[in-house]
Amino acid sequence: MKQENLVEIRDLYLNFYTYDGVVQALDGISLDIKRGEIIGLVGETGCGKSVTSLSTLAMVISPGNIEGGRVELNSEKGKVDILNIKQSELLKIRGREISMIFQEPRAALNPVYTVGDQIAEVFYHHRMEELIKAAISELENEVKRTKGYKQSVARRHLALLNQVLKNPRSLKLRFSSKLPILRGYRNRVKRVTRRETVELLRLLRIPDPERVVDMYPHELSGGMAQRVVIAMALTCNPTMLIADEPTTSLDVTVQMQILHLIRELKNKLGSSILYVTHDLGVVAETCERVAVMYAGNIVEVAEVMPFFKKPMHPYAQALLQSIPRPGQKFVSIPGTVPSLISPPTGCRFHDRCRYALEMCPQVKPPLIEAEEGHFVACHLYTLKEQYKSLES
Amino acid sequence: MNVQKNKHARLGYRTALGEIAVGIVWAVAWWITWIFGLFPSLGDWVPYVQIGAIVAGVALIGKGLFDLRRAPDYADLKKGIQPTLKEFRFTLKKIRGSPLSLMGVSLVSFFVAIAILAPVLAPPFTPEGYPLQDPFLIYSNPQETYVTTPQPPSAQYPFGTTTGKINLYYGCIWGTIYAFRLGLIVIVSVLVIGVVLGLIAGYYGGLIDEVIMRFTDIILAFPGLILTMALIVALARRNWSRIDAAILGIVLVGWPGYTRLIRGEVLRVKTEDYVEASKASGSSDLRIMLRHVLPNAIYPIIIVASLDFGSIVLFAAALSFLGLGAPPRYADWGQLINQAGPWISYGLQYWWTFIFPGIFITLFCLGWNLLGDAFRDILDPLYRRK
Repeated sequence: MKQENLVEIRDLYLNFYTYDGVVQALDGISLDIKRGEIIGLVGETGCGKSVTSLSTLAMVISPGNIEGGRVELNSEKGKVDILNIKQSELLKIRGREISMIFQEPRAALNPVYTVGDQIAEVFYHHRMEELIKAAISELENEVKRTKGYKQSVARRHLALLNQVLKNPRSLKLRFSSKLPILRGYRNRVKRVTRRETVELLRLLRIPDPERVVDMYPHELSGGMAQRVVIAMALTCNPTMLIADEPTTSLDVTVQMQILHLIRELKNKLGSSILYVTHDLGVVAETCERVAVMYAGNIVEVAEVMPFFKKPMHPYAQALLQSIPRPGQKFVSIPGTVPSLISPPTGCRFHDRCRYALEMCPQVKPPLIEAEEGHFVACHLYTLKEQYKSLES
Repeated sequence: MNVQKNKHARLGYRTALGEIAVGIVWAVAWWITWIFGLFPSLGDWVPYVQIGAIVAGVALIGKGLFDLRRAPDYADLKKGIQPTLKEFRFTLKKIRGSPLSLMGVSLVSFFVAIAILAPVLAPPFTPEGYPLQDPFLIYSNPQETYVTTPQPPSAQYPFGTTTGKINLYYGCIWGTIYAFRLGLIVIVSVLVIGVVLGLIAGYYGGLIDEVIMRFTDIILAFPGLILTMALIVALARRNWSRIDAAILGIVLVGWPGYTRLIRGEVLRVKTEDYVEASKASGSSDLRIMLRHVLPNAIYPIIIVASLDFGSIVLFAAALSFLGLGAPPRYADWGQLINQAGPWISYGLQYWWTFIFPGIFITLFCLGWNLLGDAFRDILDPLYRRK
């Protein structure tokens, strides 16, 4: 079954301009993310995993600079290139269509606001209209139900909220939204938001969500904080979720719970997930496909089962061998991770590779489909392909 | 519902709070007319306005409190402010627990009380009962000014007199209002300038940062007192009032420090993950700055500002002592010490001329310094729960 691509990253080049020199962090990577799949992005520290995920949100900060390439998102309104759209359009996509879960849950929450406030912020960014409509229908009921003072207040708030929908920039609204007592109508929307937030927290299996909304981040445990961060990312049911090592800072049992939760949410909401990690066990457990990165290149993309059974790229093979197993001698990859300021020419892995050929330092191997659905960037396989075509 | 039966119960707590707020506005208006209504130029209607204002203010506050208790949604309000009240009580406990904070708070409230009650403590009238032209200019009888030697404290002049028969007691009391006015204007302007420029410089970085920071460097390169003096002299030649010139001079020298401080904090906060997380959820720059960066960067600046409140008054006193701040006979502590200049060399023979204004300045600065420490204990989350 051929699934539609949700995000297509094409020939992405990215450099960091540091005092030591130009760090060539991404060297023309291409990656397709299909609708509704979990794809794992694995690699060593500093190989460009996080930068790839940040580029998907066009959030690379100085001194990083995207030199070329496209990140195309198949949104409701058709294809858009995230790297080349207006800032206002980008703000609408971030959080609504693509959102992100961060590595350190405690650091990703602002210490001065309660959990409820922070989730509400995302609601206000993207779903204000729905919230106001919900508040209006609630107020209409209240007008019918109540009498006297309460009814007159409800009527006034109803009128104001209708006006917010019709003409949010009118003078009267701008005036009354600033004054302490007149701005009471905003509390109606706040109440609806709070209810939605509690629902969301309940969906994430947070015990006693009514209490947790009013808690500050330092009062939460690591696992709870990570659930809250996931809740923030899921506020608008994004079609694409980027998880940047979401379980690295958690202990193993909590990690398992979070992984199950992410899987379950994916099935429920149908979002695609880009799961960035360096833990191959997590990939085997959660992901459907896997992409391996080495020194700013994608070297192998495959379905999870074929990948673990038969890794193709020498780096991927070495990586799988270097997982420590009890009773076996610890194997590591010889050499060190190359500096990206002056990366090795040709294939960037050639100086650590057991099978290095003469052409490896000269020619950069393209990413080819060696078997069905199994892509690899290595001259061993390009040669084989060429050989096959010669034979036939 | 029985809400309808009780006549007083129809108003919600919002309306009651509104009444209290309007009442407070009236009371403040009354105080301002009390001080400035003493200018004869304002005319005869001032006392009537005053009476009206205080009656309306007190009546509204009373009615507001009365309605608040009987509001049908009083329970909502009580529940709503419960956490705030709890934190407030904790703050009070914290202050009571530390003798230094308590001393700071009581010193500053003592000076606030003096400022509010100045017209009672030292009525701005001539001995014949005529209101003064400007209550901040200390009255001295023109016929007696040639008596140059200071008079020791007596029943008529509780703190004695200084050069030119200036009433020291009057000067010290009304000098308190001037000290607060000066401190507030300078601190608010410096904070506004510092926060706006520091946020922009720290958040955007690059060229904007470079321009703003080099500008602060230029100002910081000059000795503060000299720069202020130069500015005051320059403005005085353009017919500025000396007080306005002094305030502007102090602001000009003060803002770079705050800008640098805020910028540093912003640089720290903007690399935090929650700023990035907020960006990833689609927040605009302005929103990130105001909602995520500023609240996490503002506390050190508030503490520094409260510590500076006293120093600014001290700085202004230094200017006055050099003859560049308030004009002679103006109710300003530094000016009073300036007047005591010739008598300091006599040792303790004319002690009252410099001891009394000196005590006022010292206690004022001490109060704000201790209050600054108290603010740190209260506001800084690292100290608050210790």
